Amino acid sequence: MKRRIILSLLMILAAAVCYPIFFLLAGSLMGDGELTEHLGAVLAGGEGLMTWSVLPLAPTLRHYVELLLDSPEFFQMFWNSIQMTVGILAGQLIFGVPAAWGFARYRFPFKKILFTLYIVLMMMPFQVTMLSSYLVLSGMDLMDTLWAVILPAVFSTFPVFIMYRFFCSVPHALIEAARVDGAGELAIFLHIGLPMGSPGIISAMVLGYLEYWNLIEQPMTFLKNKELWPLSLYLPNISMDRAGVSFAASVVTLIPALLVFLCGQDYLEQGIVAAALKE
Amino acid sequence: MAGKWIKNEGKQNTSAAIQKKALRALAGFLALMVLFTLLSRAASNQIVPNVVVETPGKESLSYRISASGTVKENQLCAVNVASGIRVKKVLVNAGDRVEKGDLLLELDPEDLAEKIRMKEREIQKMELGIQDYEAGQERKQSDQELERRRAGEDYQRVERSADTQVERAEKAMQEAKSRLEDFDRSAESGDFGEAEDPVEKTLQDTCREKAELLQQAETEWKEKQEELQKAEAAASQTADSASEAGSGPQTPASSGQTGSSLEQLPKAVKEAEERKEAAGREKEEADAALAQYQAERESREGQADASQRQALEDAYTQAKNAYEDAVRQREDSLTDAERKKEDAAKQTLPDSTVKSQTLDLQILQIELERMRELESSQGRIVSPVKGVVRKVNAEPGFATSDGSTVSLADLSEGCRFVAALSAEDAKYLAKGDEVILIPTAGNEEIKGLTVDSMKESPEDPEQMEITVEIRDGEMEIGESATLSLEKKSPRYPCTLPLAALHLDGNQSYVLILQEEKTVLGTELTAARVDVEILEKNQQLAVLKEGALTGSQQVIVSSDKPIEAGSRVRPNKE
Repeated sequence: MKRRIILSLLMILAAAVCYPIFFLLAGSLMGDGELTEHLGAVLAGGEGLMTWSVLPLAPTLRHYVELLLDSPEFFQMFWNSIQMTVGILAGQLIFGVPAAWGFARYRFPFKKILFTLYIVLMMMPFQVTMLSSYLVLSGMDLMDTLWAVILPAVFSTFPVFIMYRFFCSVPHALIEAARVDGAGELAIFLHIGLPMGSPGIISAMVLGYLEYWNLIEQPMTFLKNKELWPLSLYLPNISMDRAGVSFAASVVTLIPALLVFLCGQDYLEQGIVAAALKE
Repeated sequence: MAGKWIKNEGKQNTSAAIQKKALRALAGFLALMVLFTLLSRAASNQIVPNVVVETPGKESLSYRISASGTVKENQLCAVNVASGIRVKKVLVNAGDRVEKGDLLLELDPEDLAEKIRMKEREIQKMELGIQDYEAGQERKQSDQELERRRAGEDYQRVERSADTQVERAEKAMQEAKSRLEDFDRSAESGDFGEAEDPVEKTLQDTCREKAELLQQAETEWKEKQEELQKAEAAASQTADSASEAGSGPQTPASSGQTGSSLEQLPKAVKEAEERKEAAGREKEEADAALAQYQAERESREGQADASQRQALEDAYTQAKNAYEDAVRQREDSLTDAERKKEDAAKQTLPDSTVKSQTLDLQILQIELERMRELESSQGRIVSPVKGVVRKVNAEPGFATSDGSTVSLADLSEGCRFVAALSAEDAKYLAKGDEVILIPTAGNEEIKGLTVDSMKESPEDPEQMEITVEIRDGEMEIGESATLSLEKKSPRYPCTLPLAALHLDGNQSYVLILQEEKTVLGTELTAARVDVEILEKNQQLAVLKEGALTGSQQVIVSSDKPIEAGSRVRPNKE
């Protein structure tokens, strides 16, 4: 009985959380007329209240066709997003992972201060550091290039933090044993640290992907050239005549994120669990 | 425990399976995206219209005008033959080319001879007619002279008799007037002129007597009064003096007189007064009787006077009227006579009958001459000039008609090309412009000709008639050809092909290439620019400066319909 109640409560919550996805899917299959009817009050200055139906009355794939075949700019932006995201994740792998390992396993002067600094930076929203970033990037002549978005994200502190937790959980004895066996630090890092901390790394990557796939503020601030815009900036204005395509675009944008999540679901769970556990 | 382990493992397996599937799905998705990228790019490139662009040029407009027309003769020559003569043979038809001296038609000589005879007769009749007329004119002249003279005499006669009548009437009037005046005058003067009336006389005498008696009585009365006064005065004096003197001797006379006067005088005075009054009354009566008698008499006489006066007055009035009538009549008759005189003196209008008849005669004579000429040439009509027969107005067996018998296009005068051009096209043409004629027959072009004249076509006011002089021999009359002209205007700074212009209501616009930064990079789109057209011909349009710069590329044509904002791809030539 208790389980049932809890289950039903959870289902309701889940439904509430998933509802936007259904909204999106239904809308992407609705024709223009139906969309105007439902959304006219909000988007086209019509009267009355917005209405919605879960299942479209006249489903059509027209918006998908329009999006996938008639809008080359969508793909341009899609690949920009991919480039950015992959770049950032790669960068984070290169810089963030060793940093996390360093924080986890070694002692060095100012470690605590540095770590505190990391945490403080992690908490700061983008808007706070926006101006200083702008100045630095402008000084480095990186404005209006993808590096303007990639580089600051590469050195983000959040993945370091997540991976740090995981690297902390690697048994000390194992490392000692490796040391005794004559492994160098690099070997230890590569052969022990990375495999052992892979859940953390992957979870950081997944979370990172989810974050950087939806990045809006940095591209908008640092990228003036429309050719470099990511997918999140595809339809900043949702007007009535583009409502259907907006829904379709949103669905398509959603798919890779969903797939990546499915790929790294396990690791995410582990990561969250690990974060909660204290060694 | 093992079951849980298996469950865990199963769970692990499921999650691994999901992971694998998800990874595969991700890979598949990415591959799909790559595919769609290519497809959408291909599709959009298909849709993008290819356009041909041009920068605005600095060209001059050339106007090519062409009009078709025919060659017409410059001069038509008419061959006139005396009308009414029968034609024997017609040797040419419309369109035939004849040389000078070629036979055109033959007239019937017998008919000609007859016509000549008729004409001669006509002439004779006319001459006689003129003679008669002239004689008639002379006669008329002398008749007129006679009339004039008679009118003069009449006038004088009338004058005389009228004057006499007037005099007589005047005299009568004067007499009547004088009689009336006399009468008036005698009426005013009264007795002098009139017969004395005995009764009146008696009465008058009586009056006079009475008046005299009255006078006497009055005098007497006055005397008596004086006496009384004197006596009274004397009496009073005596009294006074007596009183003063006491006793004094009274003048015996005075006292005696006084005493007697005083008693007698008032009585005498009174008597005198009574006598005076009576005399007065008698006089009055006499006067009244006289007056009455006079009044009666006057009224009697007055009536007779009045009627007499009236009669005289009437007579006078009559005489006056008669006089006035006579005067008026005199005037009338004089006027009449004068008018008659004037009428008679009027000059007759100049009569040109003789002249016109003479002229007619001359014409007839001329006609006769011509007929005689025809006779001498045996009725053969030859062409006076080299030309092409346009029209033949004669038929064998029928008489020649009025008007030209044969009309020829006079080749010696040359020919001209006439074409009709719409008023709009004719704007670009001016007198003296060089044109080219292209004969329809396929001959060579004729260059070097100029526009001779341009005027409104009589048939159609919307069109203009263009004439071009043709030199000898270049073209035949009746040939059709096309006139072609090319005119260049001065250079304009901004010209575009007509195809580049579009119309939106009343506003013309062009589409220019514009670079736009989009997600796909720098794209070229069509942008609308409103322009004003100054001039245009069949190919180019001249735009007002300022709308376009020299570097802007204008879209001239595209393989798909485009509008402002659509993406385009210029053809790279």
